[in-house]
Order: sequence, then structure tokens, then C-alpha cells
Amino acid sequence: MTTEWIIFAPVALPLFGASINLTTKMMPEKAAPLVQRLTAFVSLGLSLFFLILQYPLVVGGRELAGIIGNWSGPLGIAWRLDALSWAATVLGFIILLLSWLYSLGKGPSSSTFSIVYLIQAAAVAAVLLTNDLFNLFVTLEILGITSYILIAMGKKEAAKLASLTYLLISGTAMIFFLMGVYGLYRLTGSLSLPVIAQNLTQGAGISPPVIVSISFIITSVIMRSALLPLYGWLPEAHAQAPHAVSAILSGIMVKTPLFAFTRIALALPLAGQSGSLLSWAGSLAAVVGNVIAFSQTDIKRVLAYTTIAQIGFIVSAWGNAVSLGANHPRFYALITAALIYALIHALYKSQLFMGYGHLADALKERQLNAMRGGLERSLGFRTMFLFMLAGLFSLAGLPGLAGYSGKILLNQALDTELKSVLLFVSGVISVALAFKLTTPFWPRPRSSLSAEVGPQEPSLRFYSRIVIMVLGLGLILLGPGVDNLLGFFSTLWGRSVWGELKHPSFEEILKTVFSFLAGFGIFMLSQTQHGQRLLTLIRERPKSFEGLFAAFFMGTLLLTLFFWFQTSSPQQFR
Amino acid sequence: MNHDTFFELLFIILIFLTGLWAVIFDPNLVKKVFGLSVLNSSVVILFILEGSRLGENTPILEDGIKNVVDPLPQALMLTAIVIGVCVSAFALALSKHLYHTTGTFNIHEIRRKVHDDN
Amino acid sequence: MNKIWSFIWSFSSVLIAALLIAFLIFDQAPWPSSSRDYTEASSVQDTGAINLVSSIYLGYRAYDTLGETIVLLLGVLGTLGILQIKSNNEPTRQIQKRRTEFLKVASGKLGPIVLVFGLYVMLFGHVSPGGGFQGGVVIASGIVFLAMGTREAVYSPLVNGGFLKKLESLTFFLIVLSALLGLIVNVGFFGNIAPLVNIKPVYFIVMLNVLIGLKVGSSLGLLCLVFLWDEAT
Repeated sequence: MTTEWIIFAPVALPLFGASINLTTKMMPEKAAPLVQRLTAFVSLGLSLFFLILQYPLVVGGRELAGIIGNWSGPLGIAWRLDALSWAATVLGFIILLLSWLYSLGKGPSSSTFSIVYLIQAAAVAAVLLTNDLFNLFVTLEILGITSYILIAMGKKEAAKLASLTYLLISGTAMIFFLMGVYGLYRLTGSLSLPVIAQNLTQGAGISPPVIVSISFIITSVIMRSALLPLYGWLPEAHAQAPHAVSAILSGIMVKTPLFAFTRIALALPLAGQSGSLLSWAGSLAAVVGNVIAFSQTDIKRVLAYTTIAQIGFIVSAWGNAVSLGANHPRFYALITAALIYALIHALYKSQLFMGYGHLADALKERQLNAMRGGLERSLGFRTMFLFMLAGLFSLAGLPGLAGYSGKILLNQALDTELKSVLLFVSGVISVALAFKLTTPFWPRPRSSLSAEVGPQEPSLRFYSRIVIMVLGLGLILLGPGVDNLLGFFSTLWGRSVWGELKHPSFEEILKTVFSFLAGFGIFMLSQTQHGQRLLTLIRERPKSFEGLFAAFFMGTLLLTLFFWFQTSSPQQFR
Repeated sequence: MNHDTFFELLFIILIFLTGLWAVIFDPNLVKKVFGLSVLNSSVVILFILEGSRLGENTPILEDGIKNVVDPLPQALMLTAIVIGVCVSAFALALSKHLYHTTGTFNIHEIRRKVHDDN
Repeated sequence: MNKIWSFIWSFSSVLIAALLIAFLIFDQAPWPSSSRDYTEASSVQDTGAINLVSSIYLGYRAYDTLGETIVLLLGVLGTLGILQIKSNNEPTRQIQKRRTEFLKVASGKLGPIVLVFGLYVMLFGHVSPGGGFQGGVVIASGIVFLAMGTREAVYSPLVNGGFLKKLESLTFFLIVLSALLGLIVNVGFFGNIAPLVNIKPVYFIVMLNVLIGLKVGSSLGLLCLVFLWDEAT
């Protein structure tokens, strides 16, 4: 068993599993579902196992690279495995496995679902492994198509519309990605990132076509990560998808393109500088996302908008790291903070989607106000609610739990005062959001306590319960356990991140207490008549399909102008 | 670049922008999918046309053939065409389904209708 | 009011796009010749195919081709899945059958000829313009011809959705297997395994062309049939 086996297993195994699942249609009726589940579980589990085997290959900041198929010459597809992509793939597959287990109990169970799910898993691994621009195009398209199909599996008609909208904007963005590839190939003669980078720095230099190409490529990739202002497609897509799918969408599908962006940004000259622009967009997104989330009344939309905010959090630090470059001493501290935050966000967001999703199904109601008294009305929710509290408090950032540690790390890693202020404001609103999300815990208002027979509740099956519990436990453990995590990452990168990230100071604890009080205050204010009117105004702001595209092109234009100013000013662009 | 090249490229850009306009502005879902398809085709033409300026012969090395065109864009575009077709097919299926459930292809009306049910 | 904003957003989008594209495309630099030079010199030795395009997408960049077959599979799965959802609200309109005798006879008779042409394009892809994809698309159109040609007396398994689905599953499985074989015998993911079984490398290319041709043909044929007949076969 060669090294290549181990490296490509996360791509090959789910793919092989999918092809076996495809042939189950030829098998007898009874055997088919069992074979499907077994194959899916084995593929995902074995992939995770092989990923663990990959650890010694990347520990200490090492990296491996090569050409797929071992062809010589300039045409082959380059791949690369390094510590960062390894960490991202592990995160991805953990969430994929957990969400799949949840779907056994609650989610779509058709054979199409399992095949598409496995292909999506393979695509995640493939995106993170590739070092070639056109291959990135193909793998991103696969990631996209699997998402469109999975979103369209939502039960309501709105799911199909959400899927179609996402398809149209994403398909167009990919065309512009292809134009970017055209521009770069035309000037460098290669599709392979390291070769392009070399050609650009030594030969062709940075000319307007190169700037436009890089802008197109970066904006198209970032659009999938739903960063401000490119987030328009996300709320409907995540809200209307089946619950297991919402969990993976928010958990990994929005983060994987970020890693792809990182690879491009670190390889190509000039591209890395976009990080500073993105970092500001992230800080803004953190506030805007949470504010809009707070105005929503549909439970899944609330969660979807908070994803936009949390992506903003992650990108604030991440963008900063990318603009500093991989050789800068603070790079790894920032990346570690962002990665840990991404991990924690994936855990609690998945759990919230799963738990609240079940509650919504049980009560046949998705409006938050109508979900009051959830504890008495839903048996499943009652049994899970302690674990859900872990998720909720992580969202709020309660000390002792994972969310708090994540926020603290992130705050310490940031550079500008203004960004810290923006994130602080966002944190305050997160607390208000958490209070809002406790609505199902309150008793029902007197008026509706009629002789209402509870609707037949779809039971929360065993697997789904286990997953929600596991996620809750993980969040609880990660609170104090974040030190161990930091140590782990230090070993992984091969350099210490300790010097940069310290234990919270008294000042920070004070800020946290203040943010809790302020958040509670905002929540109480929102219950007033004026508050409600303001929220309704925000909620019913006009949203347009054309606006999505306008945002995409304005974003590209902004990035192009930003790059142009960077190159024409006297400072050297690294 | 010479006169001919300029006009060829301009024409390709016009086709591209037409497709883009259809995707963004036209409210009919089917026309949006058409627009996406036109976008795809224009990019394919661009790659292949520009790649063909390199040489004179088709890239099949029969005896004595030299100076062929660049085969890489052609290989890439094979993949791009298939991806475009599959995405369009799925989009059309979605449009057809939405039509059957809402009775219209107009995206604004569909949006109103599906959100009223919420 | 909404319409005005809609127009403004759309117009500004297209304007910005036009501007950026113009900067991108109108460039004086000559097209790079590195790919052409390398393939002209080495393709025949490396892969055995004299069709340079085939040598790229079945040799050097076969991984992308694998991705593409996956996309085809997803397209079919997704489309079939959506079209099979029975909508209760609107009654499905009766599709006016405008098939005339002429159409039935002409397309029905042409069908097999187109299929043969498709097979030729597929099998000779490594020495003439063509290959798996092109051949597959022609085969798919042949299937459509057959389907338009006759419906009541369905004599060909090619027009049967169930058969096409099975063919597609089988060919996909075989393609993934071929990719993995390269790993097993240590020539790398999707490497050319022919030298190890003592046959010329070109046979690997031919085999891949056939598999891809069948996959593309069955996938696209299935898609067309589903849209044509509006039912889940």
C-alpha cells in the first residue's frame, strides 16, 4: 500500500461507495437499503481512517505534492497535501459522517440521496487536494451540483426555487472562473498553480489581464463561501434544505471554498493581498448577518443568517492571515484561531439545525413564536434539550463552552481596533439571538392552551439522537479542551502558536459579561412594539434575484480596483 | 492584434453579454437557462478560437503533420461543455417542476407564490 | 418600482462584466505554445494515441475526465429525481403527439445508422477527430432518433429507460475501477495500466473511449428520453 493510496483514499473511497450504491438498483428489494447504508458508512468511516493515517505525512508543517498519474511534462494535474488542507479535510469528513448518521434517522433516505452525498464527500476531498486551476473548476462544479441536488430534496416548493437560484448564480460565477483560467493560461501556458505563480513572478509580470483573471477567480470561489456582499443565495438554500443537508452546508460547504481560495491566494503573487479586503468584508458580515438573523421569524432562516455572520467572523481572521502570507510569524496564530472557530461553528451549527429541525417537524411549525412550549409538546426535544443548550450557549459564547473559547482566540488574533469593535457588536447580537432561540423553552401563552391534541410526532430516531448528543458533548469538552487543541495545532504546523494566543485577561472577561448584559437588553428591547417594527422592516427588505448578480460584479470590480491600486502604488507587492 | 481578430473577439463578447443579460434580467426561467447555455457556448468558442491561432493543422499526428493547433483548450472544453449540459438539464427539470406546481415560469411570481405558502 | 431596480441591477452587472471582460480578452500576447510543443513531441510515446486531444483528456488529464463522468451521473440522478416527483396541484397537460408517420419512419430508420456512426466516432477516437464524448453524444442522438421513431412497438432495449440506467451504472463503476487500478498497480491514480499487461498503451485509451462513450450515450440518452416522454421509466 503506497503513500498515494493513503493520500487519495478520501477521494477514491466515497466515489467507489457511490458507484456500488448505484448498482444496488439491480439487487433484490430487501437487500438494497442495507447495502447502501453499509457502503456509505464504510466509505466515510474508512476515509476518516485513512485521513488519520495521513497525519504523519503532514505533521510539522510538511507538505507533499505531485502529478496525478505521474505523467511527466507540463500537462498533468498537480496535487498537494499540506497541514492546512489535511486539517480542513478532517473537519469536513467528521461533519459529513455525523450528518450522515443523523440522516439515517431523520433525513432523506432515497438511494439518490446516498449516492449524491457520497459524491459530495469525494468532491470535498478532491477540492482540498488539487493544485491545478482547471481541476479546481471541475471539482467545484461537482461540489456545486451535489449541493443543488441535495438542496432540491427539501420538502417545500421553496427548496426547488432556492436550488435553482443558487444554480443560476453559481453557474454564472463558474463561467467567470473559467474566464479567469483563460486569462492566466493565455499568459503563462500552464494550468498548474505553482507553474503559473512562477511564470507570473519571473516572466509575464502583473498586467491588467492578470489582475482581472485573478479577481474573477477569487470572487467566484468566495461567492461559494457566502461572504458579504455575495451571500444572497445562502439564506434560502440553507433554510429550505433537509436538516442533515443544512448541517453539512453550513458546516463544511461554505468553508471548503475558503480553503481553495487560500491555496490560490498563497500561491499566486498579488492574490494574497485580497485578504485584507476580505477581512473587512468579514467583519461587516459578522454584524450584518447577525442583525438580519435577529429579525427573522422562521427558525431555519435565523440559523442560516447566523452562518453568514459566523463566516464573517472566520474570514476576518483568515483574510488577515492570507494577506500577511505564510511566512509571517502571525500567520499560523491567525489560521489556528480561524480553524478552531470554524470547527466549533460547524459543531454547534450542525447541532442546532438538527435539533431545531426536528422540533419544527414535530410541531409542524417553523415560525419561532409558534414553537413556544416546545418542551412539553415534543418528546424528542425534551430528551435532547440539555445537549441543545450546549449548542445554544456556544452560539452565545458562554464561558466554559466551546463558543467562548473560539471567540476569545479570534479576538486575540485580530489586528485592528475597528474590527474588534465590529466583532464585539456582533457578539452582543449573538447573545440576543441565543435568547431569541430559547423561545421553544418558554411555556405556551394562555390563549393557545386549547384542547389541542399534539400532532403525531415523527420520532427522533436513535441515530439522530446519538449525533445530537455527541455534538453537544464535543462542544462541552472543547471549552476547557481548547488548550489541548492549540497544542495539537502547534505540533501540526511545526511551530508554536502559544506565544500569540494567551489565556483571557480580566479585561476580556469583563467584556464578556458586558456583552451578555447588552445582549439581554437588546432582546428585551426587541420585544417592544418599536423593536418589532424595526425588525419587521429589516426582515421585509426587498431582495432581488438581480441583486445577487449585481453584488457579484461589484465585488469583482472592487477587487480589481483594489489590486490595481496595490500595483500602481510604490509599495512592493511581495 | 489585427483587424479580423478584434472583430472576432468583439463578436464573442457580444454573444457572452447576451447570454449574461438573459440570465440576469429575463424573468422567464427557461430563458435564464438558455442564457446560461449561451454563456457556456461563448466561453467554449473563445477558448478554441484563440487556441487555434497557434498553428494550422488539426492536432492529429498523421504522417508528417507539424504545426498543429493547441490541443489543451479543446480537451478542457470537452469537459466544460458536458458540465454545462448537465447543469442546464437539471435547471430545466427544476423549472419544469416549478411550472407544474405554480403554473408560471416567471421567477418573480414563483417567488411570491412559494413564499406565501410559508 | 421593482422593475426599475431590476433593470438597474441587471444593466450595471452587464456593464461591469463587459468592461472587465474587455480588459481580459483584448491582449497582445501570443498564445503560449508549451502544451502544443510537448504533446507534439511526446504524446505518441506516452499514451500511444496520435489524436493529441485524446491523449490529453484520457492520459495526462484523465482525472478531469473522471470528474466529468461524475457530473454526468449527477445530472441524470438529479433530473430524474426531480421529474419523478408527482405534483398534485396541476394536472399534467396532455402532450400533443405531433408525431406523423413520416417522422416515425424517417427517424426510426435513421436511428441505427446514427448509432453506427456514433460507434465509429467512439472507437476511432484515438486516430481521428472524435472519442468517447463525441461518440457518446452521437449515440445519444441515435437513441433519440429511435425513440421518436417508434413508441408503441418498442423493439430496442436502447429506448428502454431501465436498460439505459443499468448501462450507465455499470459503465460508471468500470470507469471508477479503471481509475483505481492505476493506484493498485502503482502507476498512480488513473495511470496507464496497459504496459503491465503487455499490450500497447493505446488499448487503454481505446477501452476508456468505449467506456466513456457508453456512459455519455446512456446518460444523455436517458435525459432526453425522460424529457421526451415525461415519465419515469
